[in-house]
Amino acid sequence: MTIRGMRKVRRLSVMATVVLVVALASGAGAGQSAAGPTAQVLPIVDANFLYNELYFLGTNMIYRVAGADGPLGNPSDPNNLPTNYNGAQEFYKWFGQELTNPDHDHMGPLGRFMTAKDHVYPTRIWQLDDETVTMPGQSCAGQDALIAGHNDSTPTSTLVSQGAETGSPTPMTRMRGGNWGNGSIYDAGSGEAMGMAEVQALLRWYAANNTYPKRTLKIGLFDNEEGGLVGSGFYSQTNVSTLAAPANAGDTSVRVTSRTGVGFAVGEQLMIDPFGTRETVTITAITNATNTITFTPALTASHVQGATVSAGVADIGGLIPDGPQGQYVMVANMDQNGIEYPARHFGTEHYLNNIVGGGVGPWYTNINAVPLYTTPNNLYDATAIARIQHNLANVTAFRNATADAVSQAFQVLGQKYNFSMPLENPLRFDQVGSTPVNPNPTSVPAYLQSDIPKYSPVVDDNTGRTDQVSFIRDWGIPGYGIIGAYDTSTNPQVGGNENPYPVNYVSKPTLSQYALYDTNDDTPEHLNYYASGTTHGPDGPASPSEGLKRALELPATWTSYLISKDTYGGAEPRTDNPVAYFETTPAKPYLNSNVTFDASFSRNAGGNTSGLTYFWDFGDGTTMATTNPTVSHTYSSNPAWYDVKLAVKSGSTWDFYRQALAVRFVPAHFPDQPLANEPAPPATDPCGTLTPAEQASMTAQASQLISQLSAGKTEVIAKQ
Amino acid sequence: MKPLLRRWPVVLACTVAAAVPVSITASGTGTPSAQAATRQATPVIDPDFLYAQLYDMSKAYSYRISGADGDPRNPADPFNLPPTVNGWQELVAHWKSMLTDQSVNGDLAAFATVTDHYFRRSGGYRFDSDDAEVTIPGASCAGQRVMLAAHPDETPVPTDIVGLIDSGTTSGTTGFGAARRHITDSNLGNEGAYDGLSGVAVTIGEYQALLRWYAANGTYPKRTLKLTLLDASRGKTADGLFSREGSVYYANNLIPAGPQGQYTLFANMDSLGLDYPARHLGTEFFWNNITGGGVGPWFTFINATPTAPNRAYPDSGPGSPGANIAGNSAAIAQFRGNLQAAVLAGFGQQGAKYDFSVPLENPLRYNQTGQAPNPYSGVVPTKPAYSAAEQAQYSPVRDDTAALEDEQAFFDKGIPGFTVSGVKNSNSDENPYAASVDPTRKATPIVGYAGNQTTFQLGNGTPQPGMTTTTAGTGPGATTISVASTTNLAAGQPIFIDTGDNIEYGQIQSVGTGTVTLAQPLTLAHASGVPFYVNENQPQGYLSDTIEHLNYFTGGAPHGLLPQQPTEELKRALELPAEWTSLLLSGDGALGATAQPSAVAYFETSPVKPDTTRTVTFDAGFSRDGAGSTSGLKYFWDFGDGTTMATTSPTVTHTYSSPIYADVKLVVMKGSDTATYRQAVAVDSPTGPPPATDPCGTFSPAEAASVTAAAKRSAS
Repeated sequence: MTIRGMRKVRRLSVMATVVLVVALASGAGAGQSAAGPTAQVLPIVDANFLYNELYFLGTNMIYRVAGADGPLGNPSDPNNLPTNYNGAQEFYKWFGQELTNPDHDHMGPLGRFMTAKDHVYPTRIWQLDDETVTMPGQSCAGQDALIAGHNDSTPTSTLVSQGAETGSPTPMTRMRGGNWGNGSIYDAGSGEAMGMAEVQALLRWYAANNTYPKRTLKIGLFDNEEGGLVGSGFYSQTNVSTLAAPANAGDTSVRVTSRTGVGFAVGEQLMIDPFGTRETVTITAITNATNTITFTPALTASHVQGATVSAGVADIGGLIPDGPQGQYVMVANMDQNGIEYPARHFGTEHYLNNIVGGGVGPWYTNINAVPLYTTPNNLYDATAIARIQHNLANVTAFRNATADAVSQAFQVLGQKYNFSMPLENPLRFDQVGSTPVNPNPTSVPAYLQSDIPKYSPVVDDNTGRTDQVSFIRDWGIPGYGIIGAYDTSTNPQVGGNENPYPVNYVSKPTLSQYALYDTNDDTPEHLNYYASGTTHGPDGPASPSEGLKRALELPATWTSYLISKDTYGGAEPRTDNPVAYFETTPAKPYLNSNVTFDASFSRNAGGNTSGLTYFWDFGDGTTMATTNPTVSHTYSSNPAWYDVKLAVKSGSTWDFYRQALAVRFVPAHFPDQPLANEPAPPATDPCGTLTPAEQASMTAQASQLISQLSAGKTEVIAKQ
Repeated sequence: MKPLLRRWPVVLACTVAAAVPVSITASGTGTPSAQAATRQATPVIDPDFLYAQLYDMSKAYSYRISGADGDPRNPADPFNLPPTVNGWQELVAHWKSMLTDQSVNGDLAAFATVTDHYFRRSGGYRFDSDDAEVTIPGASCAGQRVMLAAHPDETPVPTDIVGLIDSGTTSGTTGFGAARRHITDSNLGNEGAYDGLSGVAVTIGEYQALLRWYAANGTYPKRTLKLTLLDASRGKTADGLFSREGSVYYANNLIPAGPQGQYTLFANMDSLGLDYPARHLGTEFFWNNITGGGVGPWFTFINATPTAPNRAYPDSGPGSPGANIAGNSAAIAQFRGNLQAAVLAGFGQQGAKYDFSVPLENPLRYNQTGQAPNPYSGVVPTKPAYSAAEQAQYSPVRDDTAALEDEQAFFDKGIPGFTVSGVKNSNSDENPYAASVDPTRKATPIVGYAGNQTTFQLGNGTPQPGMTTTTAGTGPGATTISVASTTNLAAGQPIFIDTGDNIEYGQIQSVGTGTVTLAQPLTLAHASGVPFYVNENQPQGYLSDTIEHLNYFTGGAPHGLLPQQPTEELKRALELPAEWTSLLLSGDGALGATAQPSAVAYFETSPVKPDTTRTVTFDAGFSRDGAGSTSGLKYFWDFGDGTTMATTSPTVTHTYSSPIYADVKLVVMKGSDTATYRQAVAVDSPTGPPPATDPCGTFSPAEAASVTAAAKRSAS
């Protein structure tokens, strides 16, 4: 029987932490030390790995335009362009390979517990893909900590065609606003590489301490972010609103409660009133001004106000289940990083020049966190604010934990780098021909706690950049997006803190765009240059400048600290049991009763899938023993909740997981309240654990059915 | 290897004919030819080597600003900045190392000697610039020189940034906006892959092809080959043009008075890669499939010494550029014939190699949603290429009418030569739009391809800062120009007016109401409505002259399948001019070929032109034995004033007692091998004519016997 280790890893004080980490970091193989008498207190981001991955993806996989690189199911399709024209398909594959690679240089042995999955939406010429790589938690797999990023680059506007054809040159400027022929190093390759390095740091940390995450860790690539947070919107969409007014038989339209992130779209199926007279119609028009959805055919019955209406993009729906399990405790979104603290503008104190009276400070880091403000704006509407406030205790705790992690990382990296930062570029542009005054590199103090409020404060998200918005808006999930500089607005509501000019400078110019993101100039050389004033490091084109390396390392470090906290990923001693975990397709099976259950996330104690046997209790009286990791099951067509339980057996050891599943309906989603006739979800543990009695019962049933399996019989089904 | 097509008759009328028998190409992979297996008919460019040089140099040596990278004599100078910040010193060092490397170039590289020619550029630069040079002295006519040139440096940040920023305004003409434009008009933190570096890489590739060709055939150049980095090419003049100080310095100070040491050919490589046979973005469709069809390949500029004086090289009396050109018209005419023949032969040679076609590599067409391709089902389409008709259309040899690059200083002297370069803007020939396209659309400014200066930017149809048109025609001598808008125009700005051959450059003296007054009168007539632009055509600059952009504009991808591999089209676009240049240089009218010598004698002097001194240093360190070694050589000098000297030191100094046009003779000995050279040196501005000696620096048999006998007596 699994007695999950619930003992918390003892947390040390910050000062003790610092001393220990520095000692480890100075030794060879820091971060990969074997479990021993000296534990590794905190994750250690491998800045070289981070930059290597960034350089590789940014120089090999070019112009990653979503939905335009051939069908994802067929890499050999001629429309899957070579990586030097559109590397989108290849990037997904590579990302999954890197994050599941258990080599010492990649994820380490715990990489075996990582599973990559594509989530495909047929919405462009070819599909979009929200790829996730998942490591199921040990004692609380039902809760997820998510690292987000986006894979895609800005495509060239299709208006180029029209402009050129008609003779109007105006749309041709849009050509410039595309990442064509480019690796999109800053936006968003930097975020992708940071996420990979954060996962690596966490997995190495667990391995060093012989621990394992409590909760499920996920890293996701959200496609077509450039199209307006499209992929993350698909992922987080709720698929449900309610009737804002009663509807009657014969109606061909309904008014719904205004809700962002639902997933209504023309051509999709709309399911109305699942617990009244359920009807399914096809959406023909959406009128946002009046929140009216028009459809065909006409309604055959009347429906009360407040009844739920459901739809999802491509009839798929969101990927966050509605029950107690499968919920996200946090999302950390990485995007457009590298031009931020502690790097200096062009690696010098002198930004463009020595402005009368002195230079400028380091770059600013935008830590755009789940907002605490209560006045709705165009990013977070009243519904989103209500959801955030509904989760306020967790939101507040998350922001405090983030601030704590930032502070801790400043201290640890400050120790590592002797609280200083080199100014790599000796040029000052007030000199003839850019001859430096002093050719020798100098350094400035850095990583000071007093720098945090000025340069790396945790602030309310006012920018809407980028994918964290979907999760926060639709679910009230605590989260943040971190980005480096993107403009020089002096409006503090939108990153005005990043304007590099001194306060006394009379006319702070706005530069509109740093490091040329989302243009065909988003190259590793440029990112290095803006961060540090040198096109690459001393070890050749593939080596980073120190400024860029540090600027990527710092937020990756504090993000890994945050996720390592007990509230999020957490850590607990590794058991010798397998890890049981499953997800379903669809995640929200509201239109059909046939559900695919994927337990291929499960692993034996060594992180392998071999030799596992699976026992399913589908929650409707049907049980199944199987050696197939993926099975399907068809439920009754009546809307209902099911408490689906999985037991995974490896040798004589077991592990269990349960997840509630709403079939044939989407539960009303906060702040909407369910009608009286909508059943409540199972009152099961959000972590997805089973009681000892439930485990015993599952084991007994499972053993009986498993004994019937044989080489020729991989599935045995029983009904109660 | 395919047999060469008969449609390529040898039309080489001039001396190049003997060296360019296009019946054979040696691609290295073909079946043995009917001729001796070891014989190689022509030089053959190794395009992979050429590209690897460009790639490596562009990645390693950023922002190559001459005169600001420490003392060039001292790599350890702390002001020699890291190559990622200012790679000028390191690029020059790399170039010297490459050209003297026998493992790269073959045995003949042992005959190469590196020299530096330091000078201080104007504008208060702290350190010297360097016209670095590699010399292989000719075997039978060392007195005549052939130069293969490129410029190593990039555009520096102007020096007025401080004032513009500290003005505290955001003005695009007098404040921060202008400062920002100036900064981004520089190659700050950039590779300069297209401008300058592509030329450097091409010369390295040509040099290798030539030396391997000589080695394969057991031959050696008749004339002296010089590879030169014409430094400090990219300062800015008040007119916004490049100052090209290195070529001016060279032409004025490093060419002896004569008759030896004269240049019979000047070949300058600059901004290459965006030229024929590559297509715009590797597709027929430039931005899109403009109604009525796609666009042709890029245009190649071959700006040759004009056959007669013209506006860029006017004849204003003895010693003027036009007079010099007229005075050398026979040699220029012969050179022009050779050049035309070599270009055509190069087309034929490349056509045979590539089956007279070029691939269109980029499957993207920008009229597709989300830039999905119009799929070619995995088959890369090709276009016919390398035909004689396309040579005439896209790579014509033309008179240099602009005088904008390093050739000017040499053409001013009447030296035959050319600059070859790819596109710069979208004027006239190189405008990518088909003839049928609406003129207003064609007029859309598409400036600075591939970051030619710094950046690529599409015209956006909105008046850009300082971009306007004239509203009245002007005649020659006009200084006041009526313009449609004076927005963003300001005194002191460099401008250009008009397009194509009518383009003129100048500087604004003052701005009135609807008019602009120029500092200098214009020399041509200009119609109403022509462009009047501030000659900083990047209102928003981007530091974008990278190897990836060069590949993209040429082939439609930032690289081949791997980051360090070229797109096919960039490879071809670099290979073609390199090939025909090497054919031209190998011709008898240029370097020629002769038997490998048993020894080579050659010297240069310092100063090259001792006009105001009588003390001259003679450097015979260029001399070699038959194996290319300097060890054990003995030198015998006849300084032409009755003084002789025997020495084992390659460098000697002699002081003359009075002004003299000295006929200086050198005998180099090793064992029984001897070689001779003579060069006239005009010491302390002598009156009277130069010695009537052979321009090749050779001796009559009697003279040779006499001086050699004297040398042997002296040596014993």
